[in-house]
Amino acid sequence: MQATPPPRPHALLYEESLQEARYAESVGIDSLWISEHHLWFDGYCPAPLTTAAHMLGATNTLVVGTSILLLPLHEPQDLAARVNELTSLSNGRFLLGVGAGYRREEFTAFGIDRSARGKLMDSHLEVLRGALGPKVEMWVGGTGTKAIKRAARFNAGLLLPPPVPVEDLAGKIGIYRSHGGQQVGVMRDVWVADDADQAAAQCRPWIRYAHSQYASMEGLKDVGDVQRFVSRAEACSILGNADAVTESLLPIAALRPDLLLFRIRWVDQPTDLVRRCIELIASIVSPRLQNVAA
Amino acid sequence: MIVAFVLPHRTTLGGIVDAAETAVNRGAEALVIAEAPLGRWASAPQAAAFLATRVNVPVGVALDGRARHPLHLGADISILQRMLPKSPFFIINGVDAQDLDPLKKALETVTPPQLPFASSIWILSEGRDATRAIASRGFMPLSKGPDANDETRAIWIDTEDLSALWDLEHSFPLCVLSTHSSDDVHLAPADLTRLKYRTEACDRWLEIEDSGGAR
Repeated sequence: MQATPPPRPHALLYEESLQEARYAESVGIDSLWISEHHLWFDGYCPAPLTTAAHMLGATNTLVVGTSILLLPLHEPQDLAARVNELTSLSNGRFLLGVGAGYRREEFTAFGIDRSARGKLMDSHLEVLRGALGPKVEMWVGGTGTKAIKRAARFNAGLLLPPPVPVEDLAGKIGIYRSHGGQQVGVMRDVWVADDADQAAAQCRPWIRYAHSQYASMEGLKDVGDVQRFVSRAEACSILGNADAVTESLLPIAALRPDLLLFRIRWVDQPTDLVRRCIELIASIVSPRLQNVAA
Repeated sequence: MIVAFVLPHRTTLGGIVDAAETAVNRGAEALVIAEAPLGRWASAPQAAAFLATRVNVPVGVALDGRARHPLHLGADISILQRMLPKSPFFIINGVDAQDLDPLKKALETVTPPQLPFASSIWILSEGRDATRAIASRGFMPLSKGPDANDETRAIWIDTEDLSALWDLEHSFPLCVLSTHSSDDVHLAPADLTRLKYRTEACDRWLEIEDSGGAR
């Protein structure tokens, strides 16, 4: 396995993340997104709403969303009350992104039948539709046709996670829009550094490590399956200097998504490198992509 | 003793910050954000995480132990421990004796190994048997006002019932003040001073009074 940065104390990691959120806001990044998993050995964030609240409290204009919150594991009325309260406190800066989840151990731990997650998504979204306040913007994550149609049916934005190959994105967006879907978000694993070789040297081990963990979460055990999973994810990742990353994102920008989410944190990366990546995205990559979308 | 004020429910940033500043100006050394039935917040962890970036005192939470799955309860506590390392306490209300072991197991499961948890988790209970059961699991027993007994390690009391506190012989490292109306806590300066001197038993307070009030 390639070397990754050693794990650091959680208090330090979360403090750095808070400062990165403030920094991102200061350089003009629009939003920050937080995901959810439970019972992972490294303490993967199990409470995205509380974490989002911390980021919202520390900032003034940054939008914070969940990408994604594992909806079947939550009680929807309670979730709606929490989201309404957070939306009010943050003056509308919170976006609720939800998904069905996939990791068997999480469903087992919560005593929920994993095979019922599709039905639970439908029933919970129905409750949320009635209980969420008018200022709450909802997004649904997924790549399968059912998830895509579900997002449209519930008038939610569609979040397409990595690693959906670029050539497949247009088809999925087309399904969504043909069913009345209004807002599309596309997420990519992205890393920008001053030097292209430096970017690759820094980031490849992190991405391989992170996706090998995701492969484990998916339940993959066969080494060949894990390697194929990681290779597919790596092929969809976009690493390089600002020029190269912008060039690689142009085909996605041409699809005119409403949101482009860059996943830039996979492990305990040094915060100075994360900040530099954020700065390059804000100052070079994003403005050039905005011109494409205009 | 830490004297913590329960924060009234507010729905805006300005409102919650104002309420916090009012409480601190009135002598609060820490704040508690409470879910039903002790307060009116939909999510104490969220509000605490939100507010803690804007105030300079510790912000604790009082959670409804019945509102969510123990893994979600533990997740919120675990995240708060990481984000608010100086937050001294997590209060859980509504945990019956049969819930203690599943709760402890959930917390042990979700808490990163390097973070302690049991000694910073206070569980609200009634009666000596309940407080013993709580203490035996490594949690800290919290009692409401007159229910305090020799197993109690912290007390939750409404300012209208404060007179009951003076009759107690025990001292507590944590005192949480609330109001029956769930509104701003307001304590007379003399009462606040008296509370803060209860780090030992009543004797010390009596010594101070006998000496003519010199401190």
